[in-house]
Amino acid sequence: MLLENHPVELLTFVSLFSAGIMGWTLAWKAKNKEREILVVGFYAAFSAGLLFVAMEEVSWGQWLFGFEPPAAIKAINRKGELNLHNMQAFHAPFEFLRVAFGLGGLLGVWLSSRRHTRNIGAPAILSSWIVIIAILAALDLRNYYVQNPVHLIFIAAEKMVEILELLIGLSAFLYMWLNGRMLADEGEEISTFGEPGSKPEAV
Amino acid sequence: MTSAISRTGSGLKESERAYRISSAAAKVIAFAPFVIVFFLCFSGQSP
Repeated sequence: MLLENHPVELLTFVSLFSAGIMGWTLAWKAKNKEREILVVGFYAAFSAGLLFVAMEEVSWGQWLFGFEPPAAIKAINRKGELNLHNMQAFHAPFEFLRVAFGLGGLLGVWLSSRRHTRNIGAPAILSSWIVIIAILAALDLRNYYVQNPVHLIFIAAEKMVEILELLIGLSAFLYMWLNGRMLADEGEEISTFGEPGSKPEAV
Repeated sequence: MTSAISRTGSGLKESERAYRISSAAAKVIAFAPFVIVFFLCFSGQSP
């Protein structure tokens, strides 16, 4: 279940991609409603990042559509895949990106309590997701630099990389879904699912 | 991080209002990551 191109990874891709599309829709509607540049810019930038990571997760469709990457790419990618995150030069930045997601999420929860940044803040209800992501990402980053294959924490963190990515994908999806509902509830008709004032949907 | 954890409890009620979700949905969202981690770690599947 945790192997490459198996249910967990595919669910990660679907949640990241859906979150990206929902965020892009939010940014577009926010722009049409002439909301602050911070709101429009943040949702647009975050969505672009989510779509990029989603496509990286499935190696830009390599495994879904079964095509071979160019030989030059295969030569410099340690798994022979069409993606950046398995290239030596980009592997470390992607490790830091996961930690940044966790720390950014914690910052986002704080921002949601501030009036001026409430519209881009992370719902406090996602705190449990974000704390777990921050801890797992920090352990994974530590493993990247201090490799100790017999250490229990190394083994546990290594095993949980795919779970960490799934949590990031699902939390991004929930972030976009919940914030879409909040913005819609402000009477601005900015909604990704359902119309403003509609009954809450079951999760 | 401590602040984020302490806000989870009050965040449940706050989220029900701000995001128009039911109390049950709020609890499911808040506890889901623990269930996911537990299930995937101990489901007997090899990584």
